[in-house]
Amino acid sequence: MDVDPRQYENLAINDNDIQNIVLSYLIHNCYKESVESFIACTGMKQPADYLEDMEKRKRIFHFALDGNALKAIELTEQLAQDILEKNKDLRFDLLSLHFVELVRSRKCTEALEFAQTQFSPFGKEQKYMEKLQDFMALLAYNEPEKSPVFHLLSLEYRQQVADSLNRAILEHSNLPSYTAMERLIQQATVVRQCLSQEAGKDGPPPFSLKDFLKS
Amino acid sequence: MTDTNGNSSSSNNHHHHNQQDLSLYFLELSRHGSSQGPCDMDEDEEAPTELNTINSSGGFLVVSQDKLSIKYTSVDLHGHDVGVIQANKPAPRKRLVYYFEIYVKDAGTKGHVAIGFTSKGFKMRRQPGWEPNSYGYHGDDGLLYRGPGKSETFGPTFTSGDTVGGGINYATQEFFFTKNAQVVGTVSKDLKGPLFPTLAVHSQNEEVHVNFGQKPFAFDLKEFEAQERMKQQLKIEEITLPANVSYGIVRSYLLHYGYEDTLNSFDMASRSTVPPVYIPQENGVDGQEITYALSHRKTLRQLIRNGEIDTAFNKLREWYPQIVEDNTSATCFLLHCQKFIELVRVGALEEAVKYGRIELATFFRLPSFEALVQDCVALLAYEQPQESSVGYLLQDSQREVVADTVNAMILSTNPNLKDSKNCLHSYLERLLRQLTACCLEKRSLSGDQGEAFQLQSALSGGKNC
Repeated sequence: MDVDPRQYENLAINDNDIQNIVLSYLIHNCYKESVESFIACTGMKQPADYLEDMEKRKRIFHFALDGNALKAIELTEQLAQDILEKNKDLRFDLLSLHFVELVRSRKCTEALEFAQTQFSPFGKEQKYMEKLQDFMALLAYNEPEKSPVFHLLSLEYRQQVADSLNRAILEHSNLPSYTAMERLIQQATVVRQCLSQEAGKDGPPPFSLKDFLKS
Repeated sequence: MTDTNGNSSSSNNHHHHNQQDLSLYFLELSRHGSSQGPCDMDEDEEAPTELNTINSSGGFLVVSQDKLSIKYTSVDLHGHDVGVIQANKPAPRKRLVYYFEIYVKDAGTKGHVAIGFTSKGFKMRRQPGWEPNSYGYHGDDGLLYRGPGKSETFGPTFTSGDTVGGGINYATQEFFFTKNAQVVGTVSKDLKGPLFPTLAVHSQNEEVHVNFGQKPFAFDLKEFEAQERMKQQLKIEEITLPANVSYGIVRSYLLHYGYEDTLNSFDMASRSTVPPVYIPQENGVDGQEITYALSHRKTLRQLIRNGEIDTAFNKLREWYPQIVEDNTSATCFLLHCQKFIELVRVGALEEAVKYGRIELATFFRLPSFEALVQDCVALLAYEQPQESSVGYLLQDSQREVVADTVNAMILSTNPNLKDSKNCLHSYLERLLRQLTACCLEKRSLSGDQGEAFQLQSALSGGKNC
């Protein structure tokens, strides 16, 4: 069987696998109605219990994304006491979101007080100290958006923290914290890279997801 | 393989030919029932079970009855009277790690025990590692020997009462050795070809027992394998993904297969996220081609999934007559077969026979079609057809194949179609195929060593293996 990656059309792929990949994406990102619709359209077996916490997870995610970290923390603790206890980094990041919101609304004194009370339990650990320094730097500028640490105010940063929170909640409920889709793309990239290295100039060209999707 | 139809103009023929290609693809697919993965042969690879008494250095050692221990019988006088022996089979390669252990019952007068791997033509009077194409870890000096003149400090010495293991790590292409359940060192494996687990004794009264897995190992092999997999996994997790690429792939999957309702829910939900999800152009996923005829495709998929083939035919005649005008096309054939199957499913056997005589009989002589016809007709022979060897036809998966065919055929009528192959699969499947093909190719590049690609564990991040 010729398995040259340039001639891959002849490999048999299981429909079930494909549908599970799509479903895992939809569940991970809390697309509740889409999940229900997809299951109905394809006649798949409904996975147990995933719907229960999906609404809650979705709300928590959106609160974090909006910068309303305190609400996100409150709801997360309601959902499961120990998620944040076990995950100090995540707790730190969520608190930092609130700090950023205070800075953004120019409530600098409040921000300072918040920092002093909330971050002290993190002690003198190197990694937290370093992060903290970056955040404190925001206070030093009249226009923090123009400071060198402006990325801490960005949507991307909030998205990153919200994603981590989502993954932590999924992991806690024994669901996969990374979607099958992400794994698939990562795997394909790594293996293609290995192939390019090993096979040298006879092998397939380096993998570009973009080109592949256009092909 | 396609039968000729006297169709008028040549451009019609070309288009028709393309259509035939597409539907024939699905025809082939439907004949396979369940798809067999490319790696199902791996479990059959043989592994060592005992020592090879045929080619061992007979005069210098004696092998036990059960072929799992050896004793040096001579008096060692020089370097060519080593009592060395190989396993009966070479180490299997289609896995992550191979491992075996020896137990030094008695290190004799000089403790010249050794463990290692040797190739097929090894000179059976020499220690492993003293000859080319062999590796040996020696108990008397703790050195690793890997060919004439090539040796280096490696690990501790070992003697009576010690359990020493030798392994091949196919992921890293290394040999590794253990002493009393701890890894003592690794060395790069520069040998290709079959390698035999080897043990040797070379002084009076030396006695060694070997364990090829018939008893539990002292070393925690499972844990070692898990750690190796974890290392590979971490490498994979470091890859960052372009923004929203998953979103694009999922959306294009839903579009391709015409899941209109799900798509609507999906789009609505995505619009109300903050920030609204958008696919940057550089992700390359082209939505235009696949929105074509979305609601028709959705309707037809639903009809076929519900077994309403007659209605499906009517709709197709109304909306896309060109797909069903040729009653001998693969598309029509698949639909007729499905109608037949639906009749059998509800027990209307007489009607099924009548239908078969009218619509399926013509296909009996045609090579690409006759296998499916035979399977369909065979359904009539059983009281419980779903439990027979042709029971796969009654499963939902068969309806899916027909639905996918019709879906692809409709997509192919798009005047803006760039490449007819795009009708066959969504990007998601292509990506999955790429991954499988690449993993197989990678394995064959390294001499067919290493684990087979396991989709389930790959997608679950290695947690479900």
